[in-house]
Amino acid sequence: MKGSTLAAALFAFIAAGFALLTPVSDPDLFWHLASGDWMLDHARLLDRDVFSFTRTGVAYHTGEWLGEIVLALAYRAGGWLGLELLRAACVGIGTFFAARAALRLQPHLGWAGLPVLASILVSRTVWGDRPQLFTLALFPIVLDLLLGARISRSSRRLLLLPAIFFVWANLHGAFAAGLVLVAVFVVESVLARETTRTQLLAALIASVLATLVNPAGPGALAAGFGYAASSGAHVVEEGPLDVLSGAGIVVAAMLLGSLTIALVLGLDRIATRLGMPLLWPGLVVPFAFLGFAIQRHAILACVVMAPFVAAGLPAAIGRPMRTAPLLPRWVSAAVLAACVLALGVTAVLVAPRSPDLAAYPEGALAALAGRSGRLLNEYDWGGFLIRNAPDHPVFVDGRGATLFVPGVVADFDDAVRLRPGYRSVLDRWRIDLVLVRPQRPLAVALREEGWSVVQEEAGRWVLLARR
Amino acid sequence: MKRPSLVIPLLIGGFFGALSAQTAVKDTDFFWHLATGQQTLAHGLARVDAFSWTVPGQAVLADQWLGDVAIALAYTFGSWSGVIALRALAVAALVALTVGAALHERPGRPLVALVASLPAIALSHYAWTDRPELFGYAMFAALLWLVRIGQRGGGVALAAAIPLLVIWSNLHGSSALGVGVLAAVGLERAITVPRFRPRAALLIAAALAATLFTPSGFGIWSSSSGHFLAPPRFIQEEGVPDLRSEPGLLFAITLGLVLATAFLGRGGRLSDAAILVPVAFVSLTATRHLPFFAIAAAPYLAAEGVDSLGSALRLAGLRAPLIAPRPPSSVPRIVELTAVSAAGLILAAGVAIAPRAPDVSSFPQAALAALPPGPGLLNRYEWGGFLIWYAPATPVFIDGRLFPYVGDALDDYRSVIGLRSDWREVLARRGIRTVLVLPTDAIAVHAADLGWPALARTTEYVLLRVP
Repeated sequence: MKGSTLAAALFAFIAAGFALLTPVSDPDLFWHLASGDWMLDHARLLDRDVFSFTRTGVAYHTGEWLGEIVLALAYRAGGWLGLELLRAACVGIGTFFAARAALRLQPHLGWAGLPVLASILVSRTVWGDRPQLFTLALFPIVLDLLLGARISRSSRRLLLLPAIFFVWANLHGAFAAGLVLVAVFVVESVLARETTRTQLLAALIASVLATLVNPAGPGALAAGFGYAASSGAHVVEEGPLDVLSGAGIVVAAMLLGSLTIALVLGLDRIATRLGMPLLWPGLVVPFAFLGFAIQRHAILACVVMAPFVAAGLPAAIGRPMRTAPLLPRWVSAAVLAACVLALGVTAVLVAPRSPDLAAYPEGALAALAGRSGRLLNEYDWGGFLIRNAPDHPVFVDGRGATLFVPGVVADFDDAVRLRPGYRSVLDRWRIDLVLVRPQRPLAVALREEGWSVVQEEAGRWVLLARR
Repeated sequence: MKRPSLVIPLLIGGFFGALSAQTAVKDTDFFWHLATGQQTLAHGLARVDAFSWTVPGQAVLADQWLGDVAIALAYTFGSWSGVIALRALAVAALVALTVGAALHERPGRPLVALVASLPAIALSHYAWTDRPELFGYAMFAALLWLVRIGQRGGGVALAAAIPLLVIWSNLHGSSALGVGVLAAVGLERAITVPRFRPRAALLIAAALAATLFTPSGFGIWSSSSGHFLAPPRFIQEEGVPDLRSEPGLLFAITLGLVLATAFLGRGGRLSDAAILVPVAFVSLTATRHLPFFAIAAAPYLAAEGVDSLGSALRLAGLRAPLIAPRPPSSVPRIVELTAVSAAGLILAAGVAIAPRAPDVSSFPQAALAALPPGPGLLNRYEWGGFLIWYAPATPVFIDGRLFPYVGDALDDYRSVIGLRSDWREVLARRGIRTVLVLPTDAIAVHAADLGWPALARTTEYVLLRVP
C-alpha cells in the first residue's frame, strides 16, 4: 500500500473519531428525521407539508428525500448512536478522499497534513446531522476521482461520476457544487487540449442527466443554483463567512496562502511542480467565492484549495518534491486494524448515547401537552417540536427556504420582532400559544398585555397563552 | 527611471472628483464630525464628550481630530459647498493616486492603468462621503505608491511614508493599516535583501512611532485595533462582507482578478504578496474595508494583468495582444501644470453645479421643533449626529461616535429600542422623557399599544412622550 493512502486513512480515522464524540444537537435534524420516518411509515415520498399549520398541504421539495430516509434508517437501527456512526462515516469518507486528493500532489505527510488538518477543522462547522453530511463525503470523492483521472490521463474512473451524481441529487441539494467541479475540469482540459477532454465532457453530460432523475426533475438543479444566489438573510449558516471567526481565519489563511504561493511561483513553476496550471485558478476562484459567500460551503473551498496549498507551499519556499513511500502490506493492515479497533472502542465507550437538548425548550413539552391551540414557535425550535410535540403543528421550522419563504417567515419576523402589524399576524393565524426566547420583544409585549405565562425557564424560553 | 506623466491621473482624478460632488451632504456621521471639528476650532481639542447626556464629560477618541477640523474649516469657508469641495478634492486625490500608481507600474499605458483602477474607483465610491474615512483611503493610495517605489530601492520614498503616516494618524484611525503594510513590506525586504535588515527594522520602528504623534498617543492603537479585530457588527458598514451584495460582488471580482493574475503570472512577486495579502485580510474583516484591497490591487493588476491574460490566451492556443510597457516619455512641466489647472477647473465646475444644501430627508427634521431642551431624549443611533448639529439644546442619548457609549449606555439603548425585558427599568433609571425612533422599532410599536402620546409622527420617525 502507498504511504499516502495509509496517511489518508489515518486522517480519516482521526476525523471520524472526533465526529463520534459530539452528541446529536442540530436543530434541523429533528424535522429531517420526522420526514424520513413519515416516508418510511407511509411508503411514499413526502411532497406536501404535514407538520405545520401555516403551510399544511402545500407542495414542496427539499431535494433531500433519500438523505432523510437514510437518517431515519440510521436512527431506527441504532438510535442516537446510529446517527453518530452515520456522521462519523460521512466525515471519515470525506476526510479520506480530501486527504488523498492532497496527497496525490504532495506525498509528504507533513506538508499535506497542514491543509488537510485545516480542512478537518473547518468541516467541524458542518458536522450537524443533516443530509449535508452526504455532500461532505461526496464532494471530496468527486474531486479525488477527477484529480486522479486528470493526473493519470485515465478516463476509466470517470464512469463512476454519473452514478455518484444520481445518488447525490437525491441525498442533498448541494450536488450542484459537484457539477461545477466537474465543469471546471472539463473547461481546463478543453483549454489545455488534454487527451481526456472528450471523456470528461461526456462524464459531465451524463452526470447532469443523472441529476435529473429525482422527484423534482430539473427543478432540483435549478434550486441548487438558485440557492447559491439567494441572500441567506434568514439563516446564519447561509450568510457570509466571518474571517474573524475560527473557521473564517482558517479559510482566509488557505485562500491568502494560495494567493501568496501563486504570486511566488507563477504560471511556469506551477506547471512544472503541480501541473495543470489552468486548473488551479479555475478551482480556487469560484469555490473561494462560494465559501466566503455562504459559510456552510467554506469546507468545499478548503477541500479544493488543500491540494494546491499542500504542493505549492514547499515549492514556494524551495523545498524539493518527495515521493510517497511504499509500505509492506502487513504494516498497513496492522495500522488500519488498530484504527478500526480504536474507533470501535470510541463508539462503544465514549460516544454519547443521548442528544444534547440544552438549546431547546425541552421543559415546555409537558406544558404543551396539556394545552390546545395554535402555537407560534421560534424558527429553530420548529424541528424539535415536530418530533417531540406532534400534536402541535408548528408555525415555522427549518424548511424555511423551501416552504415558508417569503410569507410565513416574514410574518414570523414581524411578530417576534414586534413590528407594526404583529397583532394582525397573531390574529390572522389565530395564535393561542407563543413559545419563544424570553428576550424577544414579542414576549415582553405579550406579558405586559396580559397573556399568561404558562411556564418559563429564565433566559431560555417562555410559553405564553392568550387569556 | 523616469517618472511617468501625471497628466492622465490628474485628469481622471478631476473627473471623478467632480462626479463625487454631485451628491448632497447626507452622511449620518458627518454632522457629529462637523460639530466636533467646530468645537476643536473654537475651544481646542475635544477630549471629553460635550454632546450627550448619557456620557457627558467622559473621554472620547481624538484619533480623527485633524479630519474633523478639515471638515469644519471647509464648512466655515464655504458652507455646504465647501464640504462638497473638500469631498471632491479627496476623491480626486484618491483616484489620481490610484491611477498614478497603476500607471507607474505600466508606463505609457494609461488605458491599462485606468482599467486596473476601475475596481478601486467602483468600490471606493460607496465611501465618497463626508467623513475622515475618505481621507484615510486617499492616504492609503498615497502610501501604496510610495511603498511600491520604495520596494524598487527608492529609500526616499519609504522615508517619505513616515511623515505621511503622521498626518494620516491624525486624520483617521485607518492609519493602522498603513503601519501593517509598511511592516509587511519591511519584513519582505529584510528576507529577500539581507543588507536591508537594519533599514527594515528602522522603517518598522519609525512607522510605529509615527502613529504616536497624535493627541491619542498609545490610545490610537487600541481604537484602531478595536475596529479591525472586533468590528461592531451591528453597524451595517462594519458587518461581514457579503459577496452577494453589490460591493461584495465588486470585491469578489477584484479578488478573483488578482488570484487569476497571480496564478497565470510570472511569479517571483513576494513583494506584491507583502502588500496584497495583509490588505486582503483586512478587507475581508468588514464591509467598510473592502475598498482598501481594490486600491492595493490596482498597481499589481496594471503590472501583471495584461501579461497574465496573454499567458492564458496562449495556453488556450489563442493569439495574445502585445501591450508592453512603454518607457515614459518626458512631458514638459508646462503640460503637467496645465493638467493640474484643467483638473482644478473640472473640480471647480463639478462643485459649482453641486447641490447647495444638505439632503436631510432621511433624518427627523420635522421633529426638531417638538424636541424638549435638556436631557431625557432617547434617539436612534444613526440620528445622533444630525441632532448634535441641528438640535444642540437637546443632548443626545447616543450617536455615531460609538466608543464612548460602549458598555452601559449602548446596552441601555438596545434594551429600550429593542424592548428587552428591562426596558421599563432603563426608562426609569435614565430618566428618559421622550423617545425619537422609527415607527417600526419595537418600542414605538409597543408604545402605540400602550397609548403613549406622539409629539410628532411621520412614516419615517415618531417622537413619543414617555407618560
